[in-house]
Amino acid sequence: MIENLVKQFLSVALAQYDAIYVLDNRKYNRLYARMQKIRNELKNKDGDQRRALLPLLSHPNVQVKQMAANTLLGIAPIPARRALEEVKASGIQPQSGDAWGMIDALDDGSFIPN
Amino acid sequence: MDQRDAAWLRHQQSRWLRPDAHRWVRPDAHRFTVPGSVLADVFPALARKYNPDQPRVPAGNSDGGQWTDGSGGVAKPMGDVGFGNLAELEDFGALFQITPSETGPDGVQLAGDPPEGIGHNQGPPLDEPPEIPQQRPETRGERMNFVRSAVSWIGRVGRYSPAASTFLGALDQAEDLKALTDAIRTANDPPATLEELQARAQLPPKAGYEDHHVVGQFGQNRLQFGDDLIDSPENKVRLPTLKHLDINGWYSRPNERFGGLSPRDYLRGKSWDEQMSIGLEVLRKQGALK
Repeated sequence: MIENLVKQFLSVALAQYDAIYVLDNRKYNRLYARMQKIRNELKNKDGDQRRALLPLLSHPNVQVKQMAANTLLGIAPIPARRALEEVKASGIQPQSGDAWGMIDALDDGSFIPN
Repeated sequence: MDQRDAAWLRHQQSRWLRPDAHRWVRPDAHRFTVPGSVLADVFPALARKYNPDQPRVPAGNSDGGQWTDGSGGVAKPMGDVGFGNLAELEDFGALFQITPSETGPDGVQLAGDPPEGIGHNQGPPLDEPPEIPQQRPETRGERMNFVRSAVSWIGRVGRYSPAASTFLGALDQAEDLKALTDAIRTANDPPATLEELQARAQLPPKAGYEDHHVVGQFGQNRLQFGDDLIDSPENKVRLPTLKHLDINGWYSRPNERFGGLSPRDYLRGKSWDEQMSIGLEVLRKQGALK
């Protein structure tokens, strides 16, 4: 079940990347809502199973890496932040700029992960 | 020679005066020289850089291990490097690896596939440009895929490279693709200062560029701040079309940093200063603003 949710997370994140690539914001918004559901399902499992997303921090796709990192900031802040730094360093936009913004928000306290 | 050619040549010459100029020479450069010629005669700096027999300063010396010219001192940067018999080369443009092996300050990678293969920190990109469609692609997805592929390829080969010029020249012949061509041509513009971007927005419209309001021009903001402020020269910048589309897309998508709201929704009702601050931040972080 958890493995299936991780697969779904990966599939949705890859589809998000494609939607951003062709500027299909309507599709992205639907995919974002789906991802939120998956995150909540993982979080509500015994012991908070969001940690099952940890392997996705090393995924080569920047959108997958970024969304996994954002999900894990509250429970695995060090590897999650490292993944965001990698996305920032990739220079691939818009994910690079987005990751940079999140890192700054973490540093100045305007974003507090849960 | 037109201005663009002159600019390209100056750019190449400046590279050849750099101490790391060898990075722009393809490993198989000998294929492009006159048969029988010695590569070191054409590129003395390359030979100096890689000659395994070049003496080094002995260990124990403060400069130990560094290359020396044998005169007792440490080898200096190359100084005046001649172009040798480049004029005789049949395929002048193909000789140079236009994209340095590290990301330079004058290019921004847009959304798309990361560089792969030999062009990714290992040497020159050798891939082919995307195929030019015979007519304007029907769907937005197809159009964007073509634009992204072209922009990404130009980013890899260099925006002033002969290959990019040839590709854009071919695109110019396709009247159906004019809007796409204009967007492709400007998408790899380097970041500019705020003053430059603002000044450009005061000029007549230009193909491949769009004007962007740093503090958004949506209805609520116009009511809140007034048209004069929203449309003031300080609030308008001119961006490459693709960058503008990407930034508008960023404003419209849910963002974790803003609690899952889109930045546009998050900013509704916020002060001018806060909206301006985030507006400038996204310009900088998306590679439009220095």
